[in-house]
Amino acid sequence: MLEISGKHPESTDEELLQQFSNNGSLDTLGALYSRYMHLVYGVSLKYLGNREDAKDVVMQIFEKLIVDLAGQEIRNFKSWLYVLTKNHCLMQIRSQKSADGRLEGYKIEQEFMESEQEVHPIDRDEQSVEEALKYCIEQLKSEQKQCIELFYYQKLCYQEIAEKLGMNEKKVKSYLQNGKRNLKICLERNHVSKKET
Amino acid sequence: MSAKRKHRSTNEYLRYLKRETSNKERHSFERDLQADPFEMDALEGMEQIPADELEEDLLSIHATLHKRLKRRKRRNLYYAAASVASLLIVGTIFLNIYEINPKTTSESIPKDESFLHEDVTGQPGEEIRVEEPELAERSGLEKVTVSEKEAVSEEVTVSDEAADLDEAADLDEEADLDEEADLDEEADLDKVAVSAPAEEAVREIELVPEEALVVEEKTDHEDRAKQVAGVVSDEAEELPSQAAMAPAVEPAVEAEEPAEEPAEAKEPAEPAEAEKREFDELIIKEAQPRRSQKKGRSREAPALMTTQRVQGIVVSSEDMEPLPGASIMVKGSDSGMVTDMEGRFSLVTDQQAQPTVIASYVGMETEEYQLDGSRDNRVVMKPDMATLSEVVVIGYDADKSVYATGAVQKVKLDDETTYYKGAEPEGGLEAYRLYIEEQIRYPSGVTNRNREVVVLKFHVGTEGSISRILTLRSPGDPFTVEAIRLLKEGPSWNPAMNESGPTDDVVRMRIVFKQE
Repeated sequence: MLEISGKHPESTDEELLQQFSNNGSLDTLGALYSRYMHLVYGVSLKYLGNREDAKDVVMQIFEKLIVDLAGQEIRNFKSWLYVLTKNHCLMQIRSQKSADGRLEGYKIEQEFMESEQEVHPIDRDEQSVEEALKYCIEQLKSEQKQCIELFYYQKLCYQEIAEKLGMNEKKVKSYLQNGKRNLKICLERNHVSKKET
Repeated sequence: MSAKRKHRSTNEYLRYLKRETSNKERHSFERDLQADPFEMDALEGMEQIPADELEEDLLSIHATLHKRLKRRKRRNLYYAAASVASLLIVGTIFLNIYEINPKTTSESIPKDESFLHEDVTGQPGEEIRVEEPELAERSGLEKVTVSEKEAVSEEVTVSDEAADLDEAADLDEEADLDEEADLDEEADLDKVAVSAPAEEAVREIELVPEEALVVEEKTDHEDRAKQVAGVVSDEAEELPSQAAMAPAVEPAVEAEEPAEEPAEAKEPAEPAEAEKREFDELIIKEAQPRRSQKKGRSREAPALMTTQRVQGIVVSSEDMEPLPGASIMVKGSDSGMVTDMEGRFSLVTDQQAQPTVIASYVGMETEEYQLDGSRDNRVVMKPDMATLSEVVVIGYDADKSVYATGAVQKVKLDDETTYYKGAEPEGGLEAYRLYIEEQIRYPSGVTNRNREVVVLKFHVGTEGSISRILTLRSPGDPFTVEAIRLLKEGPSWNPAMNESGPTDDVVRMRIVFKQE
């Protein structure tokens, strides 16, 4: 099994960032980056679809960090890194001229992702949302409703839900995603307006 | 908010993907991921490849980062050291040039005069005449040896440094200086050589100061090693006036032409002469690795050693452009050098008239060339087709709208969810990529570029049959043919699937031809 332990297991991202901007030590940045390296790799793999390219991107991003982090104040390193990674991958795809069709597909996805950037109400665990949420869940189509209930309320994993409903895991995920999107639309209509008043 | 949430570690991902986790753990992992698009995206990417490959890659990126951190530190140290060293060296060189320049003109003259006087007084005894120049030579040669060593080591460091720091300007300067220094030396050496016949022709007394003068001057030259040509000519002009009383001047002035005429004077060498020869040979040996040109020595020791200098330029047969950094070895010897920025070389060989050199260069055929022994040799190297290894990497590209690597769910914005999976080669993409890597052959001699891309578009039917192959992009027919061969002879394809079963699909495939 993989044994990777950071040098600063107890420090938060913000502390490490602060430390890096003070001493400029690459070790500090390395410790911070190694926390998210697998995520950068995963995202690159998703976008570029090639293991070697993804590995390259991981190191390119690190080089970029060394430069970009200087003189920048970053409040949330993780989400900043996510945007950085995505943009880097998109730039890479763009530079491969032949990928035009593929790029369009991703453009749409990016917009979609950006709207999803904000944490979904159902993931927020706020009491005030509860009621509106319950109402909206009732409005969902049966498969989406089932998946959401099983996942969020009965705390089953994708695999279990898939077995229970006789579908594959990918389908479970997509029902969840669609269900969540519909919920959000519904909640924004009902709850957010309530909040504003 | 998301800053407070703990992120999932590499190990957790691996355990999840390897299905080593309990259902409860899975749920909490999935739950965390649902809340963070970064992790969702990452997981989606990671799911595209088998867990063991993923683990391998993750280990490898951590190792790379580790190496990166280490290297950075070392490199910083190195840069600091290098810049300090180069500053020091540049400083010393400038000091040398400025300190020695005024000396050479002012000092050498009085010295010569003193020699002259001494010798005139000491002239009667023959022994004195013999010893005097010998001593002068010895001390001179010793100086030469020492200063040469210094000069060599300095030069080496400078060029290393310069190369590292990519200071092309420095290199150029250095090359220029070298050339000038070479010229100087050459002129001096010619004089030395010529002075010998003069020795026989002219009365002994005059020879003494002249010899001493030349040796003295030579010492100065070598000492500097980097002198401006102007000074030499000045000094050369001074020579006649100096030795006005010495008829030996004429041969010295004519020394512009390489004194390669056979030695008419083969009189039995005096002991002092013999010794001198030894010293000369010493210099030759010393000078060889430094590619300085000790020409005109031939007549001094015809029986022992014949050295000559060969110069030339190495060019590529493809475009007749010079090849910097090609290595040139004299066949049957261990002397050789690397061509300079302009592809020029210049080396000393102890071989007879037409030496053979072995030229080698990356990507070029290593071949022997017969030089005609003169200055303007042209070594034309041919590209080596055989050793161009076919290291091939394929970039796999697909049209997202119809096909994407791995499994894809297509989500429509209405409530209907459609399952869709693009056509895939049997055994998966990774296996396909390996197949291409293994089978691809770079068409030989077609282009001198080392990267070419072919894009094919083809149809995968419901039975996985490939048809309607279209070439969207290709640098030329040989590449197209090869790409289509790969596709047709390769693993068969599984048709695309949607909810209702297999369906037609259009795949765009990008094959990258690379050679190294």
